[in-house]
Amino acid sequence: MSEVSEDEPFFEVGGDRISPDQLGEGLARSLIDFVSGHGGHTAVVEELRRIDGNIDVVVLNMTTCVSQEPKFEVLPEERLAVAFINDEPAIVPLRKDFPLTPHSYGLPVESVLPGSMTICLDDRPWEDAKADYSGAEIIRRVISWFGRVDTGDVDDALQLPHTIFLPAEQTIVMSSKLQAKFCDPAKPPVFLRLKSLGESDKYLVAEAAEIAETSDPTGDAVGAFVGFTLGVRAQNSGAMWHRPQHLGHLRYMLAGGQEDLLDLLRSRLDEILRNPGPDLERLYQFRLLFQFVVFNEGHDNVEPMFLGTEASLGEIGVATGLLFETPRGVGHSYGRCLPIGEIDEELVEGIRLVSANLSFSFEGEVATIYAGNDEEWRAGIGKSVVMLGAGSIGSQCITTLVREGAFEKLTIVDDDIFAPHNLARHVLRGPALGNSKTAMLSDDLRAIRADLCIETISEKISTTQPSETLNEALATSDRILDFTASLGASRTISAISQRSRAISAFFNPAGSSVVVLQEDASKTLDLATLEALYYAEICHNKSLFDHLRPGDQAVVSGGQCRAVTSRIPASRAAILSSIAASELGKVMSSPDPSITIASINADGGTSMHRSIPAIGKMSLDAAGWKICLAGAVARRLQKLREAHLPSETGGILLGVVDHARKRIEVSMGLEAPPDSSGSPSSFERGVQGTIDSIAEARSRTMHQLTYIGEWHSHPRGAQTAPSPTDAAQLVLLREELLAEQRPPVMVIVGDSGTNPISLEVYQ
Amino acid sequence: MTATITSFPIGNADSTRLTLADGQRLLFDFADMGKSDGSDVSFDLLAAIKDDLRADRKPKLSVLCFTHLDRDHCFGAEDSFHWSHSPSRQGEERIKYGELWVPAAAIIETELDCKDAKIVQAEAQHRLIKGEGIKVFSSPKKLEDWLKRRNLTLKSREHCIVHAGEPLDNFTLSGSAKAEFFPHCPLSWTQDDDGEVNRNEHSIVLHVTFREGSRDTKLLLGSDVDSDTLSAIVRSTKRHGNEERLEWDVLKLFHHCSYKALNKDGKEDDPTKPVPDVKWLMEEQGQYRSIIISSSQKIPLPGSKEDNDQPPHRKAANYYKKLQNGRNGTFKVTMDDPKKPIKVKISSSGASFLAAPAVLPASSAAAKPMRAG
Repeated sequence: MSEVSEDEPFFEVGGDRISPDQLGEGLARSLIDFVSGHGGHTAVVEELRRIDGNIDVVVLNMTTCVSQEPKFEVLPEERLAVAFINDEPAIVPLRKDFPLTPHSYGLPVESVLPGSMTICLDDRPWEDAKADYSGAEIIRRVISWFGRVDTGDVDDALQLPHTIFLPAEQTIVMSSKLQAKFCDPAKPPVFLRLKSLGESDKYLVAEAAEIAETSDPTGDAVGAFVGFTLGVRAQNSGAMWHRPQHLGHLRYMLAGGQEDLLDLLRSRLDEILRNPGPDLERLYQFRLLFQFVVFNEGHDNVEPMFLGTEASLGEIGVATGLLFETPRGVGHSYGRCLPIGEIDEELVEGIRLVSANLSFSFEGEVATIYAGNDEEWRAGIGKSVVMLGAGSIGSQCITTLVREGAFEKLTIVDDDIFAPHNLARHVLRGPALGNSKTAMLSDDLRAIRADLCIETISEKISTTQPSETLNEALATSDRILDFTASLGASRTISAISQRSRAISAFFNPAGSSVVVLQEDASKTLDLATLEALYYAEICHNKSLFDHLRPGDQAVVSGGQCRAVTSRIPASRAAILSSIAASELGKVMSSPDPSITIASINADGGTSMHRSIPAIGKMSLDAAGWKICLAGAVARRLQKLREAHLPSETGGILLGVVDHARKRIEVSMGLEAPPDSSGSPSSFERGVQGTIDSIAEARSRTMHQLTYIGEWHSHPRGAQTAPSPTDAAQLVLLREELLAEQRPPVMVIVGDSGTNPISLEVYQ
Repeated sequence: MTATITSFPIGNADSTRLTLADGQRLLFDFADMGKSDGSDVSFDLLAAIKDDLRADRKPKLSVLCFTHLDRDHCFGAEDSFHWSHSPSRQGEERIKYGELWVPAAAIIETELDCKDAKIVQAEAQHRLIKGEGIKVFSSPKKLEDWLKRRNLTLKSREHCIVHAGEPLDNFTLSGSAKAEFFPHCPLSWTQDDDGEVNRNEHSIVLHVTFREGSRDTKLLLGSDVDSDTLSAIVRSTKRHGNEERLEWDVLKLFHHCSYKALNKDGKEDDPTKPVPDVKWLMEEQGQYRSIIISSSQKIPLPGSKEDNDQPPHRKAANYYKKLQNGRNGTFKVTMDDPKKPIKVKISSSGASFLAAPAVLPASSAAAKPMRAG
């Protein structure tokens, strides 16, 4: 840093004046040529100098183009030094009271460049950026930088959000819990052990420990440290500063008349040494790890920086005048200086500081930030979930969601063992073979996020009723994630009254689509109802006609004909699982129900079909059966009625029949066959094509839809109660369905308003 | 869009374009000096005005104003604009404009020496007789006489007359233009007192207020008036309690940085000492971080051959520079960059320079029509 008289408004550049002829063919010449020929009203070359033997400096008078009310006190004209170090330009404002702004950084104390800071034009490594640079580009970027400083929108789209300190060589990884202890200036110092992370010497993991444990580090520990945060937050408007190299640099670390940070440090050390407790001698041997917390005014955030010493607390105490060394063998190694002595400048400059960035351990909050999510999202999707099924889609989805910061507590439910064929698409690997999927997956997830609380239940929920433990988990969790890909499981879940809201995700048999069904917040549309609506979607939308067609033949995986697995490539399973995870992340924070079908097209692209069914459902109990009609189905029937008014119309009802749970879900009503006859007072459903229509619907839905009864409309003004004709029809239907051992369903559609639909079942 | 003020590098001559918030263009003076014989001006003003209209798909200027009819304010006008009074001077290649604004002197003066000035005058007279498409600034007695000779009355042409101290219709801060024009000069009574036309002193001086967001930014559009006229303007404005109409964030400087605007008898002082009223106008009414634009040649170095009686005057420039330095303002000279105009942008935080087009990659080329054969 150049030294100049305090009276001068500008830093002197120093070095020797040179002529343009002495420049090489690099960027400095390009800049001179551009400004001389085209600088116009924007830039004027004031002088050209060479400092430190080989650094060419172009001094410019720049018109900054800032307005009359800039957000930072930049003047309409500024004198700038553009210094070229190995052709890389550094832009140094020469005005001594140039404001501290984001995207500028302080020059190291030892820098040969004039000024105290440089402005940051480009975040990219120079090797990447230099191809874009010419003299004109430098001027453009400077003008652009000033333009952003003028408006206060300083972060360029191409620049990373600024930080206060330039990145350090090392990074300390710390859990948020430990960091919280560290951060509280009112609390006693933290004793901790630093360990290398794997083979890297760039990352150190901090672990809390008791003083007695930490005093004798062994194994992979780097050392025992006493740590604290300085109780003052330095103000800094966003300029980036070089990190101090030794204890003496603390005095110059932050420009702008801040408090002397070395004094602050000494005060804190004094407090610690004043109340040492029984481990004083051990304390003297500890090294120091302290944190400065800098409040970034421009962005209203706090940025920590860690500084560690290789010197011990005892040595630091001597350098700072707090301690003196005692003769060997006489009590403690050090004695307290009373009163406190002077700081020994030479000694403090000899105490090297190693700076380190802070990296939080990969925990939920941090993962959320990395994923671009926020706490609101995290709370919205539920913090405690029960995951049913730990197969391919489940393991992949849950891994993705956990990486994105989702969940605090996870209960994984599956009774399966990880088998060789599972390696095709599961996240687990060879070492997990033969072990419980839940246990192995649980280890895998903990290895990603140590903060996750995971419980496992070895159980298969399908036709059997859940155990008490599982019931408890289902009732107390925030969400149930059904990855079982089992109709039985989702129908069993629907039948449980005391449980949380469920969401189901599964692949179609061909492995070309993934389906996500979410219940609404009130669980009016439960998974069983959503299943019926999902089939209706398949029948109504041409693009989904082949959705449930069987895919490649399943292969026998376990030597028995029932032990089959699908033939789906891992790449497709990964794509679809990722889509499902993304969809879960989106819809789980919404109170609405949803049906999402995402498909991989023939060309490799993906398409998405999403519907949000209207919440509402009619249901009635009859003959031990429960019959349900979702509002969305009723609406479709209303539309068919309206299209035929004033005449009546009607047709066949298709639905899902669950004999095990004695439940019928009305899925859809077919249109009247062409040979039907309807008048304002009567309707006769025809027969042409009916068998084919039912067969087609069954075929499209893997035979899940079946004939369940009839629907018809009543004319305007008429009630939806069954007429005598309707009652006779019901009797007839009953006869027809006797063989099926289930009641017939009749739906009568009338005027909108109260009771627009009548759901009738033969009693 | 934000309003802009553009002053073109055409030597000791004037042409300033205002682009208002609603996109309409108003051109104050047009002197295409690059087309005059022996000129050292290289800037093609006609092309710049035409290209700008074309780029923004504007069929015409809203207003063409000649502050007065000196050669350095209207050179090349004859061949550049569409003149409704002269069928031989019309055509698609000519620039069209809505209203013509001139001082009363431009109607009544009898001793014009420049052919462009004569064409402007003929057009102005033609429009005034028709009673449409013109604003005449001030109504001295001689204008009334001129109308009488054509069997017209001042009253019948009142809608064409603009009086000092009365904001122009059609431009309001709350309207789409977000601008207000307040004329300060010429003053009718001074013209009556003077008797004969004094072209410089009877020229148009306008104060423009731009509104952007909650901020008003003010421009004083000076012409070639001297310190006497400026003093009269100041006194008259104060008398009417309209001091805010002389506040300025941007000043298009008077008379190409002549000392006469500061103090017509102050040739020797360095820096020039302004007379009291002009001192007030400069020092009290100019705002913090304000901008002065001198439409002139470069400020001469001491002792150079340009350091003579002709503007720009170095000593006057010294006054302005010192004044602006003291309040973090700027003083810019159009000919400091003979290739690019000075462009000022009006935003909700006031006036600021717009980086010249060449500072953006190839934008200058992109803004011009290109042909290939």
